[in-house]
Amino acid sequence: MDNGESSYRRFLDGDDNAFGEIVEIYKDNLIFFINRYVRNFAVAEELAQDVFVELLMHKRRYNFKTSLKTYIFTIGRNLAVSYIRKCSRRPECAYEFIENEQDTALLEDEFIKKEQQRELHEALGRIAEDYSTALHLIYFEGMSYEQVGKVMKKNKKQVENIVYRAKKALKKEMEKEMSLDENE
Amino acid sequence: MKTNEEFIQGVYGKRDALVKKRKKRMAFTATAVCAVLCVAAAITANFFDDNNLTKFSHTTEIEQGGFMNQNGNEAHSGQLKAENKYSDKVQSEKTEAFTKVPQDYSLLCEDNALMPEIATEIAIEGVPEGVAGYDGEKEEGGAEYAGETVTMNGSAVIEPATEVHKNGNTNEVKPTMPAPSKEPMASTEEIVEAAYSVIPEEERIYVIKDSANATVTRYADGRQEYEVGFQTTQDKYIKVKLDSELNPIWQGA
Repeated sequence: MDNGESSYRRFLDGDDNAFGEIVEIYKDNLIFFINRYVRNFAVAEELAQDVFVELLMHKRRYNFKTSLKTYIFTIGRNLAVSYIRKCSRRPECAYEFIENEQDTALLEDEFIKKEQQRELHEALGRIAEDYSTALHLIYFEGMSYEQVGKVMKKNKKQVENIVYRAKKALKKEMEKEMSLDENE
Repeated sequence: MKTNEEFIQGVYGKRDALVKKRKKRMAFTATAVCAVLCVAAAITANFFDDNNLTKFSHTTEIEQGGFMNQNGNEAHSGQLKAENKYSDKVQSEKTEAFTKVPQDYSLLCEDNALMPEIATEIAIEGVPEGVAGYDGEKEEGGAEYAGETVTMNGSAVIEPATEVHKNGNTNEVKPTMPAPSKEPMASTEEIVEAAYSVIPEEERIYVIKDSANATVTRYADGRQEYEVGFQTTQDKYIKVKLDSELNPIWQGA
């Protein structure tokens, strides 16, 4: 498995089906990742589309020095961060969508099969954004610290620190959740 | 949640919209650049027009009889900017200048280094054809002075010019003066009135005003003199001489 690099080469050579393959490989993971930032599934889906539009518009910008996954997730993070920034400046955001609970549930079902994982996902949503992003990329996307560093624009050491603190924060959140469940 | 196909279609749709938007922006930029270039070209053209006006204002000075007008440049450049017909205007101004030359001839001869040259040029070239008030074919006036070397206040001498014919022969061409106006500069009533007013009051009571007989004398330089004779009740004849400006030169019986 080459994470879509070979498909990308074919896409550069003009094979439109190759682009479909890349979309198929990364679409869901990307939406799930962006959703962690924007906390709105429809917006996440639109932003994920924007990531692929970026790929179409600037085909030659990807130089194969990093993995395609890192490249796509970096674009996704950048778009999500700019979207959030834009939303913080204006009350009306670039994408105005009503949260579709069903869609969100479908996606979450796919990724969070077990109840424990669901709790973990919820706890991830409550910790700091940098912590949840780092943990998501490492544990959900299987990225290395270097790759995470590239996506988050941090060095390896910084990522290690973030992951260490993120784990601590997550543990705290999970314990809080469990103690609440016990009280009920 | 969109299916893969819907998602990919959405991606292509967004891409097309983006490309369209970029093309529109490019077209707008190109239009803006064109507009800026046009404005710049217009400004440059105006700048060169202004430079050419220096020549034109010089012609204006000639028209004004040699009086140097410091404000002339500005006034005329403003006028020309509005009309933007530089060459036509210059041509018409030149023609106008030549038309006025016979009357203002003496002014050209003042102690201005430029003026004798212009006077010479006018004397040699004559008044251009088609100018009202002058008929080059008529002998009167112009012919009267033909063949003479004209001295103007001692400041310039017009030398005979050489004319080259089509067959190669050369003839010496004598400069001729433009014809002085045949019409008196003032009306008869004005002349008689001016002459009458010159006569002393004690003599005026004997003067029969209706018997006035005015004679106009024209000179080469365009000057005119008027002589008015009055009959009196005392068998006396009173003569009054006036210059062009109707000032008395001489008065006597």
